[in-house]
Amino acid sequence: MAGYFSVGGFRTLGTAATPQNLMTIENIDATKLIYIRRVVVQMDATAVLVSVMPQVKLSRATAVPTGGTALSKGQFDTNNASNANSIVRCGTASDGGAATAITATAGTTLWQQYCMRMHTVVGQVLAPDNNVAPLLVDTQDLILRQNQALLIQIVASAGASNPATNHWFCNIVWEED
Amino acid sequence: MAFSFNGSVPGLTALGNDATTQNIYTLTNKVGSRVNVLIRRATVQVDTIAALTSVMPIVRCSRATAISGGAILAPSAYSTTQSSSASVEVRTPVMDGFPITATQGGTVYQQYCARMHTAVEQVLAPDNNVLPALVESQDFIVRPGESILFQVVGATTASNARLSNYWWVSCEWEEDPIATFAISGTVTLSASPVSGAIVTVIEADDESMTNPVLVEKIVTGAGGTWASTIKTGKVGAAYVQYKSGATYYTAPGSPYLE
Repeated sequence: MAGYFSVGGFRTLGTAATPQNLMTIENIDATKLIYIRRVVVQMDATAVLVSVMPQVKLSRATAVPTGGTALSKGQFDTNNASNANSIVRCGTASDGGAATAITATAGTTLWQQYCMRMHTVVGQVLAPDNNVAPLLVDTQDLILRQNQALLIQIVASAGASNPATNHWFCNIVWEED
Repeated sequence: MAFSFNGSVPGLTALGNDATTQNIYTLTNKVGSRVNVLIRRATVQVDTIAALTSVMPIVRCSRATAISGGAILAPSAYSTTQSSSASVEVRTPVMDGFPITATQGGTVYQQYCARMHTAVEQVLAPDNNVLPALVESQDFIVRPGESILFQVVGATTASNARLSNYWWVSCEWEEDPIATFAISGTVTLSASPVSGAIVTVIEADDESMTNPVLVEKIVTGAGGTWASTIKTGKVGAAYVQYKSGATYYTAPGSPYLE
């Protein structure tokens, strides 16, 4: 059960909650490790926001998350099966669907990102990759041991900063030993 | 690894289809293939020429099944001494009349690309990676019998309007030959070589023919000879059929080729 795996979450609407848990990845295996290799968030905001945009923060959750929607994991090589104890949770069960809240509490922020906002709703809207983990985790191991989890969380300065016109998703790539 | 192919091919420009899903590129490594396909880069671009004030479509990559339709593209090798395996098949839709049909799997990776909230000013077209850039060094493998699909997923049918969105996907990959051993023979009838005989080669995991796969159908030439390969570690078998006028022939098979 070694190899690389990845998953893209469903399109998740802003909930006006401060904060909002977007996605988690957890390892509940006593003998296997997870190495995070990439965490990317993208967002399309379709409404004006003239105040500061939300941040997306990556942290170790204080406990193993619960709730949310467990996602099917993609394989870089179908000869490698992902460990059933590697679990990725999303805050909704369908694109733009109702929230299936992930229960998790953020720890100390590891890394964070702004994504985008529309100060006025004009012109082209692009969608660059927003790396919520530093790119060097490609080669420098960010490790999840037993009962550890990473939380990707939207932190808005006010509920109005993260309305349902914010359309988020997250991609995670990881390696299992 | 000594790769037999390193190259790429961009898809044709595909107009939006006024639907919530649109298949815009597939890569299939056919059953019986003698290579593993290692995807090294997959990017999507879109030019949107009309305003869209709601959420833009997402482009998703997944492992897919049941792929058909569209047009088959010829890959370009980065070295002219190489060529892509005939078992590697890239499909693109051609206008409205030739869509790709496919059943998507779970999302492996995904991207927003662009939209025009209002149609003003300069429009840019950056590369949008539909697989993580790290596949450049970490093998994302499409084994024989597998496919990947790049699919536009709109929130509504209006999100991917026919005359507004112009998509394409580009994919770059390497082909890693799978170890095989050679098998061959000559078809004869009354001690004379037979041309036009059909030799069917199959392989399986073991002598119980677990997971049988049709490797190829060979039509013998003037000398009646045929040759094929079986993957190392697999068990092969070859069977002959020949029709001459209204007379049908067969011959004892060649099973358990290991």
